Amino acid sequence: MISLILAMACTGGEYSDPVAHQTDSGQSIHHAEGTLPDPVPAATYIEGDAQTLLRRMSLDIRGVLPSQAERERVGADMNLLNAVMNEMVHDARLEERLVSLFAERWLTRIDVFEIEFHDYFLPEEQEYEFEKSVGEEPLRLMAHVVVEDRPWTEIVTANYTMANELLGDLWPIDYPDEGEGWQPSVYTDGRPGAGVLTTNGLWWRYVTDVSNKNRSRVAAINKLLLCNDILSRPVSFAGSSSLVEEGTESAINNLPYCVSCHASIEPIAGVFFGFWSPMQYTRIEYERYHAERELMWQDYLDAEPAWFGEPIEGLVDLGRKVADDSRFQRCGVEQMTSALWRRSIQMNDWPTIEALLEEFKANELRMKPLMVAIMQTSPYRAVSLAEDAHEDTVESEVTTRMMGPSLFHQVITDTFGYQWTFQGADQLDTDSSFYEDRVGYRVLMGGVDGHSITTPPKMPSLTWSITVRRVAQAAGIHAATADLTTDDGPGVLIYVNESTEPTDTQFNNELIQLHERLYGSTPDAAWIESITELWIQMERASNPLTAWGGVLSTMIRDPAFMTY
Amino acid sequence: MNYTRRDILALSAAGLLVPRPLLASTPGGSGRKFLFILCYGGWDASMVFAPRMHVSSADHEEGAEIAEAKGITFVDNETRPAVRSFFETFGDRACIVNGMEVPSITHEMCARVILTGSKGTNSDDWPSVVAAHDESNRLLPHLVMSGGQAMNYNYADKVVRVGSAGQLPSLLNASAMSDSNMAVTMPPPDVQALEQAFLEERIESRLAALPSGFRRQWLERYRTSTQNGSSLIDLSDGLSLVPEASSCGVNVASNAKVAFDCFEAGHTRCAMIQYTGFCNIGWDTHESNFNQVLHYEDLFTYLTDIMTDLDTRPGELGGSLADEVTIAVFSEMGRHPKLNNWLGRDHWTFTSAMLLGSGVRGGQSIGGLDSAALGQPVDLTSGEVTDSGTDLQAQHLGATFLALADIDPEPFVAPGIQPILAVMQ
Repeated sequence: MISLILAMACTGGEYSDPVAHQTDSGQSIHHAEGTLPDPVPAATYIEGDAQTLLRRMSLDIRGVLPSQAERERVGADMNLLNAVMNEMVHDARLEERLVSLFAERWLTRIDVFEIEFHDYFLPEEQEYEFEKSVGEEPLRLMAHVVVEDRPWTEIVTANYTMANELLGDLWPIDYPDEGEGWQPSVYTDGRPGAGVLTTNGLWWRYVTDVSNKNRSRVAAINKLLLCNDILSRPVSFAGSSSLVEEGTESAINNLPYCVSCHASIEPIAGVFFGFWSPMQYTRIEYERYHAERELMWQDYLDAEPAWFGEPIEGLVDLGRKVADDSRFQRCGVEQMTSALWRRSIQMNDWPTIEALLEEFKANELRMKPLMVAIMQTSPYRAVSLAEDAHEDTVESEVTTRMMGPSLFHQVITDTFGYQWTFQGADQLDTDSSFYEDRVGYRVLMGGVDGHSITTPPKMPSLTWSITVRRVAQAAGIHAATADLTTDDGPGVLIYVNESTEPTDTQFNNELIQLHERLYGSTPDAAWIESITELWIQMERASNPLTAWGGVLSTMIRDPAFMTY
Repeated sequence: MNYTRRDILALSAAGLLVPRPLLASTPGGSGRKFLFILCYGGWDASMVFAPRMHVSSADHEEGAEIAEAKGITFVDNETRPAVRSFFETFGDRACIVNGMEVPSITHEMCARVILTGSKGTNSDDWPSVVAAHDESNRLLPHLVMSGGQAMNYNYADKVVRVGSAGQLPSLLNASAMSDSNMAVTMPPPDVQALEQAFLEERIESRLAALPSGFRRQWLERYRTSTQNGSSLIDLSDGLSLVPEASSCGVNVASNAKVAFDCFEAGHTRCAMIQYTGFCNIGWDTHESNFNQVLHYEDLFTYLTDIMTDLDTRPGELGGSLADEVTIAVFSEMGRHPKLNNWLGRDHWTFTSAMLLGSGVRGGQSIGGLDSAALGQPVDLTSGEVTDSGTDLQAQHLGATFLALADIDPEPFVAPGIQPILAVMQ
């Protein structure tokens, strides 16, 4: 799957892309072929009320519904909402959400690496843990930097990585003796420390080979750290009649249209030879850094290591250069904004991005203040658009967000105590397995798997709906059973028992608290009447416990729950 | 060589009964179905489709020679009897398009371009566009078979993924929920029916109060997807959505059989199969390019089975299914004319495609490579190579797909891009 990055005609050529151009972040901007678009008039955003936004922020930042105490505290007061928002970014659950959000962009949470769990003689029960751990290594490092309120530049300058017990066992990592879970750790194989740039997890995802010579990794850091997607440039061989005779490597260094891109690609590729391996699928080759190979660029690439013209000496120097690059700062802002707005950045967002960038700089490049600033923007708070909103904005703006598999799993677990796992694997967090008796459902629910889905969908699909239905039914019956028949249920049903009748006050109170808790609003009489009637019909068809399970399932599947 | 290490991940069988639905009888392109077979990894088109013997600086395959069968000019070699046999049998129903450029040399980007015509992420692939413009409300508008790719922006709701290991049936029959560390018993059918009816009523009442905009669009799509999902669950008893297990690699013919079953039943307009070569060894032959021989033999054996299967089936509109189905076989890139140090071939931006069946003017090879192995311009109407012709791009292929489906390609391709009319009957 590795490609030789031979970028011919980088500046345009004959090729014309029909509908899309990319922003720096690799996101899409609509405009007519060959012209820059006119600025789209800013839409008049209609912002949500305090309770709606409280629910949105809580799900985005913590992956859980707001508590009753928080709902009561905020009430309808936007100032109090902002106070709670400021507290949320310091919640411990932020880390898990950040890992999910970063995974959508960095695409490292794939199911198949070139080195697999059985290469380490791990039992099949640990396959999922292995793949998840490898893919999350760089994501955890970034999340750690944010949670610890460190400058974002640390993701490329840190002299540590993040590891859990498994990675500490498998890789040459000095994992803390008394450590538990993900901890800052240090590689012991002599590799330099340059944050994500020196993590196995990143380079196991973005692999290279003998022909590619690390060029794919240059493309990856350009896209991920600078929002500069060099692969989106047209590469046309048309018109280069000497290409076959000249040879590819020669063309890269001599043909002007190749040189225009490769002049900056080759010098960066040169610093990755410590991670370069002449043999694929070899564990010992992949897990260790090879300092003795750092100078192999002299044999393989006809360019000395440099960062866009400035000479560099190794990965630490590369990390510093990235950190000092203004594109890196802007890219960090674009990525976080896109993650929280749940859409790509458009051309008419640039003034907002500029303002957020200034905020980011003013706060020493720390992400938490930036996240707070983003959550105060109109696109984040919008629940609808005014009638006179520009059609382009109407087309692109996401005024309601759909739960994807990661968030859905987290909310269902937290609220209903139901975890859809099999052989240790979160079924909404994986897809395929080496062994055929365990497969997951992430892609079917629209989850980003790094290959077949690389952007979270905004609209429901048939398989999204069916997955939601099945999980809702399982969670509903699980929670009802646990709450009504045991003492250690999740506490979803707090007023009723199996003999409570619809005419009882507790019945009505239960429905009201469910509506407030799950949807963040008080129900009207019509809803109470209709859901009561549903319970009665379900109870007639089965029993009270199944009826309560059915009511919970119905409420989960309701758009009021699945969107936020 | 690029071995995926999940070759042994076999496909399990499951049952789904999908009865023949009521559908509008729409003749011509608007009733045409499409089976797309993506040979992901980059095939060496010069081994079958695009003769390159005249490129003096290229490294040529031993024993290869130009041959012709039923109007198709192809590269023959005694190592590939299945290829020759296929063209001798079905060449008059096949059209080869050569010298088409896909302007990238990375697999992911080339796949995006050949499937959507664009490098941007704000575009839908051709099958999704076709499925989205179908007037019938099909349950499985664009069926993506195990491991297949789908790229979406506006029409994600038209795509139904079976799953990399055929997971969808497990969701439909709810066995997925019993394969869980917290196994639960699903509610009885009548309780589920009450739940579904309540949900649909809630969606309808919300829609009645909503103005146009994103929120309304979301709700409309949720309504459709949950209704179709419910219908699919209700019907899940007879017709398998999971192909027969293969001993090694992707069994293209059994995947196609599932697609044809769905075509026949009227549930599906498009289907996508991804074929990663013999035993999943992979088409990306940076080393050992001779492995492409195995892939082509395997592929054309499957294609023979597919065409034979298609000919035996009744169509949705009363005739033969073969009259209603167009098959497109393509790869996202080609391979370099010269061998590298590992007897492999690196990436090349020019590739070929083969179209078969309904609406296709068979028995012809269009386009070709010049003495530098670059694509030659083609008269889109006649298919002749001519200096005044058009350099073929992936968008021309996409425009042709859309035209075959009676869809105006203009909104989906760059200005000036036209279908390759010579391909079409």
